[in-house]
Amino acid sequence: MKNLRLKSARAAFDMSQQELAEAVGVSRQTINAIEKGDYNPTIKLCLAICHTLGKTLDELFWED
Amino acid sequence: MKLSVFYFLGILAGIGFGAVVLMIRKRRGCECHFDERQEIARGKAFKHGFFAMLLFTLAAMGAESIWGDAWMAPAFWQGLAACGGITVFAVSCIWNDAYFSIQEKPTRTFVIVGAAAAANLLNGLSHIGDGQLDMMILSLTVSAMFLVILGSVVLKMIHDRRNPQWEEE
Repeated sequence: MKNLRLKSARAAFDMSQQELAEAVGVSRQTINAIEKGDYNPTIKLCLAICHTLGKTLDELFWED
Repeated sequence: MKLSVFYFLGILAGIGFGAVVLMIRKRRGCECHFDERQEIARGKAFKHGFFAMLLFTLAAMGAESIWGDAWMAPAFWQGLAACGGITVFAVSCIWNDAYFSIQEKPTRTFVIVGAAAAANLLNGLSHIGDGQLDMMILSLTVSAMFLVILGSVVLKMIHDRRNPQWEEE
């Protein structure tokens, strides 16, 4: 399932996938895979993304 | 088969070249850091490579039991199995975006892999008329392995360029 919330949060920060990837220390392809729903990140990476984008885990990764 | 001193010198030169490349990488600070998704993909690729190597070894044993080893030295089959396993590992990594580490530039890999392929191709071609598939002609297999890896990297780059999956739709 696509993670559109992550995508929109990144867009709100005016960050490209490459910039977010560099900020959290992963490859651009990994950010792309998370947004496409092809890869489930570890809690460590989820937290790094949340800290970078100023969001909580619930806001970015919780599915209702 | 009696191996000349140049054979062992060639092995030493290969090991020395590898050591120099590793030293340069270390000095420049390239620690080959892979992220968590890449590590998982590399683990799966390693598994594929391992089973491919087992299959190659089984095929080698089968072929030897059927046709004997008159035309093919056992060392050739062992080398073939190793090259097959490495090729499967590398190609699987390449297609899962896990071959290059995060900061790694493909250009250096192109140069090193290209040079290794060319050197092994020359060595293999110079021994092609010996009659038996042996250690010397194994260079052709190693060369083929490097060429397949190089070709896979190029194909993946072309594929990514044609299908820009990362774009911010």
